[in-house]
Amino acid sequence: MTPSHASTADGSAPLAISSARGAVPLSASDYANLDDRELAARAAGGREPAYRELLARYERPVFSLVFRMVRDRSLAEDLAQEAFIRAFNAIDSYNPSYKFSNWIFKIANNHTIDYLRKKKLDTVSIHGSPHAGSSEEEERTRVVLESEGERPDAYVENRELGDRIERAIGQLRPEYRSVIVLRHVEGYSYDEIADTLELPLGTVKTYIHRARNELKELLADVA
Amino acid sequence: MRRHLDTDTERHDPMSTRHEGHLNALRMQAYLDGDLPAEEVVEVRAHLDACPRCRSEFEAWELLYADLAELPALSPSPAFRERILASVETPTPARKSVRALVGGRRAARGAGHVPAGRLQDFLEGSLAARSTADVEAHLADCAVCRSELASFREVSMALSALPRHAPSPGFAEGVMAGLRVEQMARVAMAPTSRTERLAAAARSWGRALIPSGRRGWAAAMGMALGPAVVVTLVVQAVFAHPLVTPSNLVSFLALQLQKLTTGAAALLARPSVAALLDVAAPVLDSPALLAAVATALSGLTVAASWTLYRNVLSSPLGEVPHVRALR
Repeated sequence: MTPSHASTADGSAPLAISSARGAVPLSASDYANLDDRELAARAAGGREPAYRELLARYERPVFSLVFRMVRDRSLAEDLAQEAFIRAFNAIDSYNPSYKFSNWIFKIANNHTIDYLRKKKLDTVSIHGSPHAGSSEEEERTRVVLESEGERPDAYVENRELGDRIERAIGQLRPEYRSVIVLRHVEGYSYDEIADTLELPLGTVKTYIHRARNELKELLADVA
Repeated sequence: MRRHLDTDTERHDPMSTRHEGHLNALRMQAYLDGDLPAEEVVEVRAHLDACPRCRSEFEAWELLYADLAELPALSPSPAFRERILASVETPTPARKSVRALVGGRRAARGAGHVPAGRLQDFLEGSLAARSTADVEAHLADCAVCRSELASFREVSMALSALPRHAPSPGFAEGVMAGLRVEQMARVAMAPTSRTERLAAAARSWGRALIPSGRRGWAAAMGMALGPAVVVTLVVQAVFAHPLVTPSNLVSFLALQLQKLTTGAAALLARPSVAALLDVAAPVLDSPALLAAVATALSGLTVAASWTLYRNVLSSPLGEVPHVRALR
């Protein structure tokens, strides 16, 4: 898709936003050389190749984080895609003085935590939510216990997270999982983690210490 | 394990090759077990070649079989050994050493040992020089803490080997498609030509000037009420004057107005300081009128500024759909 030749029916230039940023057309390979902030600026100008380049850079780390948090591949893909769509639709609100990766991780993390909280509220009791107003609602909020071994597809998913360490991570609280992944997979400093997850620095250190402690105990149990 | 095999039995005949045109789980497993006669093997293979849905499920079963083949012999928990040895009579020293082997790793470290958080910081190299030296000195003498450190090291190493999992190949397209859907919705709503855009902007400004919500209306009324009250009070005061009656006031105002207009005409015809003063005189002559006008005007100004600020300046024009057509 050539970035420069779109025009509206009356021949006037496309909407004013684009002329302010990134008006110079680039080839696809040039986009690969831009830094994240430049890309974000061009994406805000509506350049599809900029979106695609950002996706190429961050789809794997973001998906990876969400996957480890929810432990279900197709759910993780949905959540990660929603997070990207949210982020791209709000690209105007991205502040270039912060790292783009921090911003996208923050959005993905918040989106996932929201989902997990909502899910927890919905499945609060095996007898259905105590707040259910009708028998249909009670039926809807009843926990459906699904053991993992019944579908071979679930087995395929779980193989990916089947290593001892991955299983151990799966037993941590979701907040602990985020800090562990950001620290050890993404190599973030404590400050960056605090900024990305919007937590105080002290809390981040506590979470990481506790998470590692629990992992140590879990690994010792399995051995 | 049993559960895998029984997935479909409730729903269809386990002996039939086809259910709704596809292979059932029992069939696939029989194939993998080598339990099918030759002609059925050919049938199954042909179906798998043609049917992606069954093929993907079949691959899942193949993986399961491969993993089952690789299952290692499992070790029992440490307590297992304990329980056996506890009921076996052995000489005391041996029993004690096994106990130590089994229990030592899990022994809680009490005071005098390096706290877990500190050990982790030590491992990361984030302790100050003196603290690092202290920890090293302690570790030299303390096997328990050394073993704890080793456990943490094992955790760190496992963590550092964690890969980044890749999403499926259609992930990026899914995002772009989702984006396009939203963009399309906005583009459909948005004006396209310059005149339409200006009209939309004007409408939006107009809408913004009208107070929105009960609070907005209440505030606007209040602001309009203020000057009205002041004017009423002024008029009241004016009429309280014994000489002032409505007709007097009207003729007085008419006179002032006349002087004002002739003075203004003269000023326009031949501007001069004297002409300016002529215009100013009638206004200055009637302080009540002046006061009333001034109050009314200032009240209206305040009201207008407030409405402007609340509805127009503080919420950006981004209320108009921000079209970002993908190009």
